[in-house]
Amino acid sequence: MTKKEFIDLFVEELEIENTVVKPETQLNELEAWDSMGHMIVIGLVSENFDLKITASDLKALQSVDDLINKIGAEKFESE
Amino acid sequence: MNQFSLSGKHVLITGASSGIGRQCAVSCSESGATVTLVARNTDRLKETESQLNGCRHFSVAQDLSELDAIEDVVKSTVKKNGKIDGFIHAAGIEGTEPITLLNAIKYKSYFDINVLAGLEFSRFLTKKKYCNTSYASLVFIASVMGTLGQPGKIAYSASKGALVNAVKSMALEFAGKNIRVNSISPGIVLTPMTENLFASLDADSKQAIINMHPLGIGTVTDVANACIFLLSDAAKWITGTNLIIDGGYSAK
Repeated sequence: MTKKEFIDLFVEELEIENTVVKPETQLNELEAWDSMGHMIVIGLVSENFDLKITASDLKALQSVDDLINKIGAEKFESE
Repeated sequence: MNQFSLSGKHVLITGASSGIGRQCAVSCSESGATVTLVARNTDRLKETESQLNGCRHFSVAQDLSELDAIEDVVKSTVKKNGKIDGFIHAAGIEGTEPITLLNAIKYKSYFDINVLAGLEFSRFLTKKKYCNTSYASLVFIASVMGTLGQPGKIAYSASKGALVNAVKSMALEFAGKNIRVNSISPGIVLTPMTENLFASLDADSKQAIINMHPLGIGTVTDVANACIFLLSDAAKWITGTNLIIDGGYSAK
């Protein structure tokens, strides 16, 4: 999965409609970034990267790029 | 504006070709809803459609045990009739089999239709692109056998009980989207399905079942009216509940 594909999946699963999500997008500015949103992202990361992250991991993140780095930038295919 | 009306709402109903599902379709259309009917049998679907009030209704012939087809049903329904405001999962299979006659394949057939099909519909039709999330409402037809037991009903009870409890978690997951989720647990209602059940019993057993219902056996309209209430804005603060409609059966 490339970073772009991951962001597309993130947007689709969180049903983000009115914001263009970029690596620098601040997670706290997204309406969907609530406890349900965290639960969805934990599931997405586990399914796609076989990696367990916790809700407190997520709360510490600022941007979408932070999330990608938390997963591990090296795990994404190049564009 | 009548709070109990379904005027302007689009309701998708599974199991709409007979019994409770068919009556729900007819009653919803009479309450002003546009109805999308989903069931396996094309001829019986057409028969239901011919009984509906109004003309913007739409049918999809689909075997719900094909769980992978459900997203396409939701997609084509929204394309044809617009976003969905209400859902009734009335599709279900019933049987009376003691545990010695049951096996994993049979349990799975009960769960596929009674539970998983309803949950898969919920997964898709609660997406913003398919659903009007201002006051949407999902209703699952469970059964008093989802909370009570009877010999021969292990598979059926297990599946309906699963539904009653899945509804509670769904109510919590979807509350943020203003989507309400409830179940209805009817006692014995006269439908083609229960006629089959009665046909398999002797007269004394049949009478014994009727006698368990202080108000007698119910009708499909009794159940459909409760569905209309739960789908309507009159029920806008009701979510995560199981409404028992059984003529007093479970009060004993």
